[in-house]
Amino acid sequence: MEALNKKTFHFKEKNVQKIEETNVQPFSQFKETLYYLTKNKLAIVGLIIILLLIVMAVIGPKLVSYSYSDQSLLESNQPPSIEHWFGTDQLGRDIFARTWTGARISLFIGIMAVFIDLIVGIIIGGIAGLKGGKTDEILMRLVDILYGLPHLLVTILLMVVLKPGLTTIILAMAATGWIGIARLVRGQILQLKECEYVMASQVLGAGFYKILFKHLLPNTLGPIIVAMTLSVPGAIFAEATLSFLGLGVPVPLASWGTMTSEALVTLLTGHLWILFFPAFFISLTMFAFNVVGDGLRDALDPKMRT
Amino acid sequence: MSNETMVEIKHLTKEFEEKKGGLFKKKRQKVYAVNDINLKIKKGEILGIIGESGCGKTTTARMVMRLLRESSGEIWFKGKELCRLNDRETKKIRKEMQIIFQDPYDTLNPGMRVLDILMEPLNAHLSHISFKEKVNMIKDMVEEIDLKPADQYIYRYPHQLSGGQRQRVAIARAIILKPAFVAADEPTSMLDVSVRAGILNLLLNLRKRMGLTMMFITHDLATASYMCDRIAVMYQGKIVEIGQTQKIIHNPTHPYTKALVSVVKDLNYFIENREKLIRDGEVDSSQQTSGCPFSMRCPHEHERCNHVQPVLTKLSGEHFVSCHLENKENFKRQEEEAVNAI
Repeated sequence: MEALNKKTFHFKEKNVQKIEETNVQPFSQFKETLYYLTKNKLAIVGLIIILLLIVMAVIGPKLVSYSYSDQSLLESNQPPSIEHWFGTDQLGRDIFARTWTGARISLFIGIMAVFIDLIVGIIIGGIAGLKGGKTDEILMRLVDILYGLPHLLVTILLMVVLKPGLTTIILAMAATGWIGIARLVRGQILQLKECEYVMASQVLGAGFYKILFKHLLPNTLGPIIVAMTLSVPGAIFAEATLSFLGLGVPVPLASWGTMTSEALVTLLTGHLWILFFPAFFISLTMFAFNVVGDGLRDALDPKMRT
Repeated sequence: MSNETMVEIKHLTKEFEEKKGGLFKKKRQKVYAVNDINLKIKKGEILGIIGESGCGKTTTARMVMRLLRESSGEIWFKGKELCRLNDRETKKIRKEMQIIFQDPYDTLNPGMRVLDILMEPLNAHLSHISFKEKVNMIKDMVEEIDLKPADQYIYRYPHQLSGGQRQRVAIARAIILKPAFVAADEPTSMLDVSVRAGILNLLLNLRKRMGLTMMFITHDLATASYMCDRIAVMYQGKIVEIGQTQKIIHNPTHPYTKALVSVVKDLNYFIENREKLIRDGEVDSSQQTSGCPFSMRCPHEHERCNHVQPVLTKLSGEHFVSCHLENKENFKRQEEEAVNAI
């Protein structure tokens, strides 16, 4: 056997400098998150579904000549056909038109409710976490009390007191929804406040707002985004629940919740497609948001990457 | 080394309140993290502070850096009393003193590039110079901490650096403003042994080049003896022995220092003679004794140690120790005083 010596070893690529350069592509956290997210096939599927749903919510109702409220009792309870793609309901309304009008309302409610949750939650959680001491104590006890109340009850009460309508539903849902986000933000800020890089920044002479906007908020953003994506389906589902209980958007407006609620009779009459389409799209939306949320969490957390 | 004093700590104390008991009957108990310590750090000197975890090393450094408020005492830095400065004056003085933290994975913001991290101190204190000049300063600094070539490193994010490299960046951030005084809070304790020597040598080089004064906190006597001119040994918030490194290593006087030195010098000897050197058991710092804080673990426990707190007494030159056993004269005098008092 040939003896091993230095000559038998050589660099595969002679330009060492070049090898190093290819290794040190600077990735920002955002780019890296995007990279890991795109590697997750399920999350991509979820993203595509969400996009399609939004596109359809925008253009869907215009694709057919029927409006969501047009009734035609002669054509009631028709199964899906070329004329009525998703069939018609008990009052002869076109389900395709109603589904996508409902998508507008359901998605709007879901996203708006979460958006309000987010703003209130970040402000309250942020103040509690940053100020600490008595302020923290009072705010968090308030949160605990609200947390102890049954959410559905609070929401229903508010719905009864306020005028029925879209804004009322959103407000009623946001009234209790911000609690989770506030807790999350407070926890994150308390944790980050003790981080050495925050202390280092303090020693370097950075002011309060600089620390807040440069160090604290950017690093809380990840978990907040995840919580947000995961709570959108929750809000949509809550709206469906309310509609199901008869507290949804007023007729003839359609949301997926009111549609399933009205279609409950079909379990007896056997026109199941009336129930199927709205229920299917609720499930699809929940699935898509959950999958994207999960994917985001894995992509944002370095420990979850394999 | 001149005789000019850079930092002087006088009677510095930090107490935390511990709440015990139920919802209604709260007992408040004071826990001393740092208990009446006095220190002087001369210009150009590296003073090591060693001691076990929880003995108050880090608390001391953070108080000097104004990250924690002291309970009482004074900290003098370059002729100014830090405890009495307002926010504006504190910010000004911060340009002159910096800290290096322990955990390389926690010390850099994960969302910022090396360039942005090093830009932070420049933006805070040197707002008058242009962006381009700042970038050049950063590049020079990055080369100085042996991350060459700088262009390859300044656009990286912390997770693209190794632990040692991160710690180098943390050091760069601390010294880029050319401070006079740097506190290093266990800068190598979380690093791999193979990387440690590199970081220590880097600090020594920087000190030579920039004339840094340092407070070097560690729990490792070997590291301390390599780095420091003088060593202060802390136990339970008190300085129990302080002196030149050579004196501490070759002539340890306090029983706690003796135990520490024997572990490093000859582990077998330490294991065989364990009972003679130190008694087992961790001491709960909330349990206050009126006597010597070390009395519970001291192998030579004396009746007097339980009642009278020893004070730092001069042994020779700059070597001070706080132990009844070593201060026979003092001991006798106090005993006489006690007798007279009765």
